[in-house]
Amino acid sequence: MKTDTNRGKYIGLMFALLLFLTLAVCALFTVLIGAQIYENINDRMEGNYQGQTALTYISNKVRQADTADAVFVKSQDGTDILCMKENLDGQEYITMVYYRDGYISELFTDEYSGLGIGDGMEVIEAGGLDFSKEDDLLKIHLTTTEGKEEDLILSLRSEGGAYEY
Amino acid sequence: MNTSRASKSQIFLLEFVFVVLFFAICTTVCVMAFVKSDRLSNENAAKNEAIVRVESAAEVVKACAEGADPMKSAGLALEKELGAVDEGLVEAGKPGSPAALYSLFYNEDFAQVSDASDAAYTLQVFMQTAGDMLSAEVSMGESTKEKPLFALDVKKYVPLAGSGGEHE
Amino acid sequence: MNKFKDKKEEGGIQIGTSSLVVIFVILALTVFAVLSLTGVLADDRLSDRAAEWTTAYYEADSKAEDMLKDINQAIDAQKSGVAGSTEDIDSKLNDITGGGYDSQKGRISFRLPINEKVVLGVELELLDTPKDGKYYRILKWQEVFVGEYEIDDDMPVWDGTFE
Repeated sequence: MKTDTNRGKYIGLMFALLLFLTLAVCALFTVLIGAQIYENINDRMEGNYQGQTALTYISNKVRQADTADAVFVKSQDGTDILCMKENLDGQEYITMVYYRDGYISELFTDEYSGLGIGDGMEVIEAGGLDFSKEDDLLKIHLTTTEGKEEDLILSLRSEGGAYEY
Repeated sequence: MNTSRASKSQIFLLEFVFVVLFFAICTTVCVMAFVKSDRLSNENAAKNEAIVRVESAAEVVKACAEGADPMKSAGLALEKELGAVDEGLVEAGKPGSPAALYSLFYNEDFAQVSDASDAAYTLQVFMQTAGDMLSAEVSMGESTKEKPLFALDVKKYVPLAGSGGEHE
Repeated sequence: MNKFKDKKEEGGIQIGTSSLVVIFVILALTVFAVLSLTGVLADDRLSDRAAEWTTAYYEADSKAEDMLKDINQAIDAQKSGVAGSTEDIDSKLNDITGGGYDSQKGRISFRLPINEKVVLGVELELLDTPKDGKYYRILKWQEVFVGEYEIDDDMPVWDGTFE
């Protein structure tokens, strides 16, 4: 009798334990799946943000500088640099936008300051940035840190011939 | 003693039932939130892609629509720069005023494809001239849906177009 | 004493353990779900703003093209003798551009709003002989910020002088 009672007790105990373990395992997997989903959504959002913000930043910079012959592309040490000239209080300045060391960087300086692309300010993280200009079309090729590639074409409305202030 | 142990088990199992019920309801709500987040995130990615591509096509039209036949010059530029497909002349809203339609096709990953049947997204550039003013409607949307993800109206003043010129 | 001992040894799983486990799991899931939703909704607002901005820019751009047409047609009419005197064309150009015609420099400038803080600033140089049918050359086609800057002077910044 006592053995039967003990066996019954152990069976009951095992059943309860099994149920609890099943719940614990299901709960664990649910949390892991939820975390993975959150990570995927976050990565996609990060990619969206990087691509959109970088291209919006560059397009607005170009449109703010669209004056006759003020926007041009040059290459230095294998790096494409988008240059935008402007005249402030009779002094000519240049804004350079380029990709360096994992970041899109910007340098605003006067032409003869001696500052170079190593002195720029980091604006946003990216995987790569290339520029090319054909007549009035400026082509921007951006690679995000996730490896996604985006292309934007901008048209320079101002016409060639130096702008006289 | 046995009654006490049996009631303990009963209490445990009853608690377990309520716990599982509560877990099921809360997990359902959380999964619904995850699904909505995922769907919105995909829509945002599609919208961002549409904005960039529509803007690029609009800029090509602005830069290259010129001369006596601005629709043709813009169309050639769209073909060269973006790989657009000339859908030919179409009937426009204004009678006697032909319009040109150029299309680009993209799959679900926004990689360009040549065949409309493989396309998940379509970008269309619909151009018309009214005398010396070229107007273009550039829009991009899912191939199966009417409402575009993003659309832009572009105008360009082309004085030479007012003097004639036909789109071939 | 034995009753207490029995109660402690009962089951091995205390009542309430499964509730605690589920509560922690639900808490974790809810945090992930809320973070995902808020992040995505913020991303959605950003996309909408980018779309609105681009649309507004092109609306201003189209209005500027309409003005270019009016300006060119006015000058063309005057050059071909259809319009009136020089004063008439000066006045007409000022009407079109809202006073933006500088006859001495031979330049026209005007601004069109994009939103409350940014305008599209266009400057043209007038030509005596038309190029591609246009009596102007576009010198500037720029976004210009006209909003008020809020200058934060909480921190003392060196003004270049030594005291």
